[in-house]
Amino acid sequence: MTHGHLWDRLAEAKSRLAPVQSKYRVLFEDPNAPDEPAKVLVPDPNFMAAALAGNVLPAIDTYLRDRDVPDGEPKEHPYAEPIGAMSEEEAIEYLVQKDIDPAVWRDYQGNRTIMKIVPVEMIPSDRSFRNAWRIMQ
Amino acid sequence: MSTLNVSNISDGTTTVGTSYVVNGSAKAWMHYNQDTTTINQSFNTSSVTDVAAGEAKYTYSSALDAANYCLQVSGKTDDNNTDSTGNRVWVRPFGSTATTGSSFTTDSGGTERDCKILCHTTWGDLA
Repeated sequence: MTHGHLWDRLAEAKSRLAPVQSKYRVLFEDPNAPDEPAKVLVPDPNFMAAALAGNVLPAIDTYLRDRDVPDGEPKEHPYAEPIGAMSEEEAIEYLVQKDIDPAVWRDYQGNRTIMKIVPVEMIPSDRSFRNAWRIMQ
Repeated sequence: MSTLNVSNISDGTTTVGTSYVVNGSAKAWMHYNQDTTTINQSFNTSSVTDVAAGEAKYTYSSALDAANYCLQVSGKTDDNNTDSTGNRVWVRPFGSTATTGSSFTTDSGGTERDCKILCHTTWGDLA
């Protein structure tokens, strides 16, 4: 194994790559908690830099398989071989699968739109009624 | 990338094992503005989710080995160095898993508050 642990690759990448602030946010609602407000996923600038550069992050499948691995058991994603560069859109799709519950992006079969990838400008700057945010249908 | 393989580090007087340095390092950290949903600085986090007023959830790029690691969070609602009412908030961790850590902020009256400066640091063993 020559690619090392993911944490070491992230540390090396952070020392080499300039952070990239994404132009996008992911708005989503939890279908299992319909009374909760819409949530906003913010991509990490160092994660985006690593995704766009390539040869740092493992394949998304490894994270998905690790969801079923109990605490304390060996995980696959830290030791998996890194994959190549992604576009910004591909990186956001990767993040959706990695950081959002599959109940939102894979399993939901209702009629409401419960997830949207939107430009950052579309997120309201006025947070007075933050707990009333919903995705417009 | 070059790799330096050493078992111990010494300043000439005191010697410690490299494992002490690695195990004692923060495994993830983030400096986040919840008002603008902007991550200013970070390491080993892939995203933060603005869950609700006062509530944020961080997701790690390289997961911890179990949920019982140490997550320290702090923050303030005013971006200044005064002892303003807005800076007297409770920021507390809750609901951590091996892949995520969450924080919740309220003022002294129990009302949820968004932080202009919200920091989290994670210590523990990596998966």
